[in-house]
Order: sequence, then C-alpha cells, then structure tokens
Amino acid sequence: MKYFKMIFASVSLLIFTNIVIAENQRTLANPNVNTEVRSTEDKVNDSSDFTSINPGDNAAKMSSASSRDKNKSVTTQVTGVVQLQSNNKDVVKKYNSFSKKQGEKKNKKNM
Amino acid sequence: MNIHIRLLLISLLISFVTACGGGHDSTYSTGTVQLENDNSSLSIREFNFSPFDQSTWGANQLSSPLLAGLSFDITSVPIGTYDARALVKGLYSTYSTYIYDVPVFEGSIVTVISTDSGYTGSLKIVNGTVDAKIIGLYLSPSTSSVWRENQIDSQIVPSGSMHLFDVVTGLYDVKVVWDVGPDSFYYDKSIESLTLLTLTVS
Repeated sequence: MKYFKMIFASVSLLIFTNIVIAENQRTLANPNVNTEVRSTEDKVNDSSDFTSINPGDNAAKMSSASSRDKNKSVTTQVTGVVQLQSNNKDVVKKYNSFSKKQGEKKNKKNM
Repeated sequence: MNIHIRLLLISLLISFVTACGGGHDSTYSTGTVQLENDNSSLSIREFNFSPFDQSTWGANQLSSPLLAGLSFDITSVPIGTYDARALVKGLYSTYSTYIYDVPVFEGSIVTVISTDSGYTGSLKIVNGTVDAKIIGLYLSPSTSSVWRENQIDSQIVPSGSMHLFDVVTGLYDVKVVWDVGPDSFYYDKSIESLTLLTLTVS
C-alpha cells in the first residue's frame, strides 16, 4: 500500500508537470524555415565613397540618424509599400523610436 | 459723404495697402537648396524641407520622383536653418534619410546629397507559430538599457506579421511577448540601410 501511494503520487506529479509544460509550449509552423532573412534593395554595398560630381563646398550628406524626427507631413504620410490591413494579420507601421519614456529594464542574462 | 471724400478715403486705403506690401521682395533674402540623388537606382519619392523650429515636415517639394543621378533645385528659399527628409520606396519596404540644421545663406546654393548608405532600414517580425499570439513587441537599440514602449496596438496572430519601417540603422534587441509561454529575446540584430530584415519568431 505504501509503495502504491508513492507510485500514485509520482505519476500524478508527472502528469501535472507535463500539462504545465504543454500549456507553455508553442508549436512552430515550419521548423525548417530560415528564421532570419535579409532583403536588400538594389544598391551599391559600400556607397560611403560614392561622391557627387560637383557637390560644392557647402554640400552635406543626408543620414538615417533621425533622433530629432518631426511629426508626420501635413500632406502625406508613408504607409510603406504594403497598405495597412483592416485586420491585424500583416500590419505595417512606422517604428516608434523617439519616446523619452522609460521602459522595463533589459536583462541580457536571460539570453 | 460726397464724392471727393470718398475718393480721398479710397486713395488713402490704396496707399496704406501698397505701403504694407510694397518692397517685401526686396528685403526678403533667399538662397537655393539643391537635392542631389546619388542613390544607385532608387528614385526619391518625397522631399520635405521645413524650418528647423517647425514641428512638421510640410509638403512634398517634388512634383515627380527624382531619378537616381539627377538633382533638383528649390529656389527662393528664405534664409535660415532647415531640416530635410528624403524618402524612397523600394521593392521590400519604404526608407527615409534625414539631415538637420542646414543653413541657407543669401544668394548661395546648399547641396544635400542622398546616398545608399544614409537611409533607414526596416524590420518585419513574423509569428512563426501555429497556436500562439504575439501580444507585445519591443524593439530598442542594443545600447539602450530599457525596452521602451510596445510597438504593437493589437495582437499578431499565427503566421501574421508586423512590418516596422523607418528604423535608424544599427544594432537592436527584440523582445516578443506571447499569450502563452515565456517571452522570446533576440539580441544584436543589425538593421541596415535600404534593407528589410525579416525575423520569424517562435
């Protein structure tokens, strides 16, 4: 009887643990898919030396450093090459990067 | 009121209006801004140019796309300091490039040059599961110690995606919050100019 109780308790614990693990698992749609894909537009790979013919003394290159971004244009706002969908399946939006709000602290030890 | 007084009043009014408006052009110093498209192939679709202290980009200055290798002049720009933004649409996404505090001097030409390396990049997060929804998506520069705000307003269903454009180039960390199971973390993902990075998360 003593062993029976132990076995019963062990089996119950095992079943419970499996249920908890199963609830927290996600199933991959396609395990073979490449999880990271880069799609680069038609461009010169190293265009840092790409100089203009006669830029003049006061020429300045534009850059992607947009930390002082302004609000959207009053005329048109970019929605990307894909139009915003009515459902939430494939959504396109501008990256929200300029808020000064403090967020949750990162913990890279969780890697 | 007789006709003489009426004529006098009208002439005074005309003189007043002329005095207010007259001579405006002669005291309004201007310069020229030249946009040079040194991109390899992409046309600039929009070019916004507005005073540095204005909070909006204003209207598109281009009447038609500016092809690669060509330049475009904006003349009669009042002297001052300006910010500029150029925008291109590629095969995979939309990208922007910026320049700030461009001085426009009287009678001079200031050239702003658009090159392939100066544009933002894009990131597409694909829900690679069949049974879990993404309820939170955080993207912040790797150098930042906080995750900042959630990038999505509604959950992303299985096989659905979120395409974020206008991401400044650099290394980023990604945190995905699911409706089931633990969060997913992806660190040091490189966002590059004129490139769409697609991450399938699970």
